[in-house]
Amino acid sequence: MLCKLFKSFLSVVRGPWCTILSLFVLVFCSAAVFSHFIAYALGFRQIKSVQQATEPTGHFSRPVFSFGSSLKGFAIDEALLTNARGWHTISKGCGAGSPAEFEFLLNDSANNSSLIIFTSIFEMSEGMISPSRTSLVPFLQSVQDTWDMVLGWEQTKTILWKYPLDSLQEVFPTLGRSWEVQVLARDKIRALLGRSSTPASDDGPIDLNPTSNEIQSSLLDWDSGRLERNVVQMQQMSVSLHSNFAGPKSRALDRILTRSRQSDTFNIVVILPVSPAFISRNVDREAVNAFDLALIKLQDRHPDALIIRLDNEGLLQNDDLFWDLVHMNARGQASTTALLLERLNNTTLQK
Amino acid sequence: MIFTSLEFLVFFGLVVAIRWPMQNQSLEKWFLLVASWLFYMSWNPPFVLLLLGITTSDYFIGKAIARSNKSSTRHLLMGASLSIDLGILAFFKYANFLTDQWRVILSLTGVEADPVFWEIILPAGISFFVFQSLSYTFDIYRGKLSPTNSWRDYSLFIAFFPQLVAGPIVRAADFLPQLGKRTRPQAALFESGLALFLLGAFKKAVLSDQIAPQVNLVFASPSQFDQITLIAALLGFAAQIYLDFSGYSDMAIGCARMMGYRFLDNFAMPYKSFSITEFWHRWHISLSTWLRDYVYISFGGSRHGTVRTYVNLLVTMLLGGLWHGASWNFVLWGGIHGAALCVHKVWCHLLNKNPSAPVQGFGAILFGWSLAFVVVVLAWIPFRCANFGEASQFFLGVVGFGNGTINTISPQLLAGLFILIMGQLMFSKNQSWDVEIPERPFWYRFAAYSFLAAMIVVFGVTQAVPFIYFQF
Repeated sequence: MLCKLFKSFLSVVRGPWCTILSLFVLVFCSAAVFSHFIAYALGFRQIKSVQQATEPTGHFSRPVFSFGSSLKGFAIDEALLTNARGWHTISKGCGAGSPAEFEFLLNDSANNSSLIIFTSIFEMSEGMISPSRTSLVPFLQSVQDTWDMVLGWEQTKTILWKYPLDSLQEVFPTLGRSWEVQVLARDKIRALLGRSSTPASDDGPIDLNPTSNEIQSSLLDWDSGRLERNVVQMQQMSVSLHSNFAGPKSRALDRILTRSRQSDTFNIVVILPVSPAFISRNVDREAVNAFDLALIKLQDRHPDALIIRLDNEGLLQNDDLFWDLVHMNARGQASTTALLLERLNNTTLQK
Repeated sequence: MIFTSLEFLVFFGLVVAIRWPMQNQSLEKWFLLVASWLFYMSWNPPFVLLLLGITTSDYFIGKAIARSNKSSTRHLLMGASLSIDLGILAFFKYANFLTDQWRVILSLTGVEADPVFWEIILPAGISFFVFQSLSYTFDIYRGKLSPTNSWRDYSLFIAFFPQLVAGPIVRAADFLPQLGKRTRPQAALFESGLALFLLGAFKKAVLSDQIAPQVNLVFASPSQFDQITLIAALLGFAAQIYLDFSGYSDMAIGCARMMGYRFLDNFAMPYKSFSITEFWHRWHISLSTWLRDYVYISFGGSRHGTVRTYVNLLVTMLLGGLWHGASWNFVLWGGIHGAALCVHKVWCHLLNKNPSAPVQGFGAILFGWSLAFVVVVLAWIPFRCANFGEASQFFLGVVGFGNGTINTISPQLLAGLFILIMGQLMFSKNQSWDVEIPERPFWYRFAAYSFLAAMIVVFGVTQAVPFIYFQF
């Protein structure tokens, strides 16, 4: 029927250019349909830009707002932290999120007593861009930030082209997500063959918070080949080696802290650890120094903010505490939460 | 601006759309020229001045050579063109390399020097447009070409954006006549260009860019990996460099065709060659013919006896290797190919055969293909490794004398190799898909293009991964 219709359309509008145009439209549509089909068949995850959890433990007029990515979910037992501190915590975040995205999650978070931002050297690197960036940060804000911070042409281009690229993903949901396609296809094939999926997926966590399966295994269980492949994948996610910590992210963090201070909010910035395996392959000495310097400058500009560096804790520098290259497992979470509580208890906090 | 990037698609779409309704041919050419400069400026804006400088000097030198009747003046002018072009190339590409070699020579004589190394940024595509410009003056000098009277046309020949950054190295005799007549894109040519562009994008984004990270991982520290991983990575690189560069060439030729211009083919299934001589008739054809016409023949070619022929061949290939980059590794790569070509010539001479003649007989085909393939693949080791040390480590690992233990053969690498092998087995050496597919029925074309487009949107890498030959 459709074929007949199409043929009759062709008979009306004849000529070689018409054929090419028809071909182009049909090819475009078939590619879009195929992309949607693959996304559906593989059970493509819709990347949620925002996940929210509320942990009320008392009747506080001013809640504590907590922001972080999946790194926070894996590294911190937020229920334990909330109960121990007697907080009423509202937790928000997004995948691979950074202050650049948190700033826009903060918009409806007025009247809070404290603000805790969890981040890491991985997320603060300007080369690493969250998949949620375009859905949270307005295009003009990105233009202004990249202009003001005088980012290099490559990085500016990468950030700004993400906007049209993400719009194209509405038409072709698999576009730019070939790694995800391959990992999910592999897991599907394994399932069809009756073999269990690997304990930790090469595609990273599914949720901002870990599942029981994810939190048990360790990076030390990985064979060297798998480790190397994942290191390569992590490097591909970043525009360059992690070395630049002065860009839209640091600028957004600055703005968040300034605005919070003006509304009489106590600011805490927690720097989470990433695995030694990740650091040794992705971050050189120069980058570590640049990150340290960026934090020192931040503290200078915001002397009343509390910056807690868990990334320098020797106890946490162990691949056995990590589920993958950047996410912690149950043992890592217990140790990190305990250390954070200890640091918080040693500090007089305003409520 | 890489061909597989969204920004190039937008740029190209705009160029085609704006040029389409233009009625004035002169305006059309100026428009393409300005678009080409803008394209080049997307890498590093100031270097467009270098492009303009080389273009202008060779344009006027070409005219002067044609006007001159005196042999000595023509020699002098040709020398000036060579000095300017090769001088610029030498400065940007080889200055630090030559300085370092000078330091090594001094240290061998007991003098410890501490020379200054400049921080030189290599202009994109310099090796390509310098060679293209040189071929113009050479052809006029040899009386094979009349100079163009239009600076604009000559500039467009050098700067035309589809071939500017990584070839194919277009000859003036092929391109300038196309600028003389008004070229309107024709539907059949446009479709054939689009088909070629799609095919190139598939090779680059779906195959080459998927293999690249896995290959890079192994080549970054070859001593860590076991024999089977090293062999897989080496075959992976052989696949990657072919898919990357032939994919780029397909896209370049496709873009030009969509605008109504024709470039000659740059690749023709090189890994199906039955001899090393045939490989060089099928690999980077625009460079190999350039080296033949302007280096090998300039040295005397085969006109001065057998030994001199082999020496000329070897020197040409060594220079061809050096053209790829300022490193002894590339010289070694060129040397291996040069030596293999000489051995093949000697072999054919002993058997009284023409080296370029087709190989006959199953045994000869199998033996010839295996030998040529092994030589070509092993020669990629020095080409890809950072230095001699790593190349020798890699080679020892491949032949089973390495100490590495890590085994990581990725599914992407296996899939890439599988597709490459199937491609070699399934398709004829002389099959030209871009010509064949547009001649097929509607449903066939729809299926073929849809397959390529679907693979690109599902398995394509969208991060802008530069083409390997951009660095040359």
